[in-house]
Amino acid sequence: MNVDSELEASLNVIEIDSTLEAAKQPEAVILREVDRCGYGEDATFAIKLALEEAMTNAVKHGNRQDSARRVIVRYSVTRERTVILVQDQGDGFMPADVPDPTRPDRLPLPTGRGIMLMRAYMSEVHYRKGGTEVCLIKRNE
Amino acid sequence: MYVTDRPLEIDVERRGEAVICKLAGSATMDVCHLLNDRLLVLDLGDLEFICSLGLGGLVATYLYARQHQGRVVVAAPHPAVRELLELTRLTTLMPIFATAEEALRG
Repeated sequence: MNVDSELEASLNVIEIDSTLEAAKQPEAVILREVDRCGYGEDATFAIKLALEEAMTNAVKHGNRQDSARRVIVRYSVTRERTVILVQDQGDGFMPADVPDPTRPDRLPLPTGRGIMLMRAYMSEVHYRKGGTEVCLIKRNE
Repeated sequence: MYVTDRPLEIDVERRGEAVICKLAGSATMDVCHLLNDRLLVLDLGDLEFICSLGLGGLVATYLYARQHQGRVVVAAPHPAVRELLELTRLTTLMPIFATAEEALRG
């Protein structure tokens, strides 16, 4: 499943500064919707985790906490599924180039686990626009 | 100051970004080894959520302890936090124990 143009046009939009404090704002809004739509504890945990990871990556790695750059969050929460697009204004990256953080030589590193966690906890994760946008989908099963 | 037989007590208190380690009683020859702590037990019993930055903090703690010939173990994580630690294989660096007491027994 991917995001069709009709859904994309109907998404809610939140734009924030490139700070970790500001990055909490869309999380609060989206999790309220997730709760309202009756998602279970596990699905809610997964969405919160994936959104934290996506926002952290956008703020720290994408925009490098540059105050001139913004993070754009677009989302839709229904009883069937949650779709979240997080876009930064950085240079992008190749997700395939990110090493497996569970490799023995990578294990003792404090960073590099975000993408793995998003993929493990969401139904689908897609990178778009040269790696500047991540699309997170969680089905409410 | 006068000398008593009050046993050594060590309390750790968090103040903002600092940790205050309060020593009380007598640091006598028989108990001074207690000051050479080599085991840090992270009791996660009340931790409800952790993201990759938080996991990174745990890894940084592990690295600091290892640098000083110490080790770090995790006690009582919630099932969701435990799953994260297992998924990321951080349990190979920091073993999990059911309780802090069990961790102390090793």
